[in-house]
Amino acid sequence: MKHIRASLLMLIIAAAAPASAAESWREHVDAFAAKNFQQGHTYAHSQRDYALAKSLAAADHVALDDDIMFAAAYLHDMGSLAPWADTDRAHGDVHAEVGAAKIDLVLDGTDFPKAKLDQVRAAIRSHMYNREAGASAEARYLHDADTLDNLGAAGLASLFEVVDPNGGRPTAQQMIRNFDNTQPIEKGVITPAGKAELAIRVAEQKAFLDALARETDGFKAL
Amino acid sequence: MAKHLYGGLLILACAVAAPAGAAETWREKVTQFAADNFKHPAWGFSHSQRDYALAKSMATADHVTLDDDVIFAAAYLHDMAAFAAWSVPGQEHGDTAAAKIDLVLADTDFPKDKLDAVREAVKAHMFYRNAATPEARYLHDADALDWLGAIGVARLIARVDPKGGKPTAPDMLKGIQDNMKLVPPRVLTPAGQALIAPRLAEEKAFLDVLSGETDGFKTL
Repeated sequence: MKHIRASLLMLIIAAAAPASAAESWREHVDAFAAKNFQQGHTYAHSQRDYALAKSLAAADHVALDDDIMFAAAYLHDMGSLAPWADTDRAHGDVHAEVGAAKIDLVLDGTDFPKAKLDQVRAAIRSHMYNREAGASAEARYLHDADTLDNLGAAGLASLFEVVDPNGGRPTAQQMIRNFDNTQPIEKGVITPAGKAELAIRVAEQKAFLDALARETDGFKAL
Repeated sequence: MAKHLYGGLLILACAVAAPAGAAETWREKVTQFAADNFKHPAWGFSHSQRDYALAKSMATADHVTLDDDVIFAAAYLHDMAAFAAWSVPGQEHGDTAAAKIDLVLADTDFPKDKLDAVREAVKAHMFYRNAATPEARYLHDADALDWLGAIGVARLIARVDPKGGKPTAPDMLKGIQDNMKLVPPRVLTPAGQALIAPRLAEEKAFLDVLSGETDGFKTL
């Protein structure tokens, strides 16, 4: 009897192991991002990208590999932050490539499924609105979530958060120019659910900006 | 004769123009001083410009005449003591600024007999204070309303530390929500009170949307 109970216990532990192990790398990535991605509020942005990508895919009835989606969403902007960023301006914006190349620093030594690493890298490389999204579902929904997070109330909040709170540069007036023409960003949205969300966010953004323009003499006194 | 007459007319024209030219001088100095020194996304130069414009517009709506020298000087200098060079720790910044406006206006052609009226408006500008003169009341309300609406939201968000320090995004959210509760009951003038509802509606719309996009502000 005792022997049977011990066997059952071992079976339960063995069955639980993969879930527990899956929790382990996610906890590691989440804690790493929370600790290291506060610059530019990147951690909160990563959380939003993950949630929005999943929600858009669900609306489109598209199944995502949640391991790939989670890792890519949480690590996609790693290459824009110190100490990993390439600060040589001559190289242009290479944060996606840098991020894709650096994810091993976070995922190595964890139980993240090694077979999925290349798909995480591919999704990270194509996450920006001005890039052609990778073919995978995870790449497409990360791309759209990231693009949409530049728009709407979250996009406005993210941009104003970058304003120097001590009166230096960038100023609010400089940042508002990012909204002069958001069409290049809007064109980056490719999925059906993303396009539906885009229309809502553009309208929200317009309502806020119209009010702000009224209150600041057309942004001249912003 | 004709030449002499023209010369006399020219002198007369210059004499008539002189006061306007002199009036320009102190305004230019105050404007330049504010533009050079008041650099802050929430209470910098553009905030002073907004307060001046909004105070005038509300007074016009209420058919109240403002002394433009007083409202201009008070609007542009009211937050002077929010900046390190003129602040005094532990002292209310309106009181401090009122005591320091001479540093800017002395040695200008600003009418000296109006200095006390400027000081009174500067002292009373915060929403939690009471204001009596027309210039003080409309500056008070313009300053209060600049904490509300789209501009109130933008000012608070711009104060967030982009490096992840304080104030944080959740601090900003609390600031917006606090302003929405505390400021409206303190708006004094009819035109100011008429602007409360539309500004609160703008803020509520923005916060509702932001909440929807950030899992109820958890990923803000």
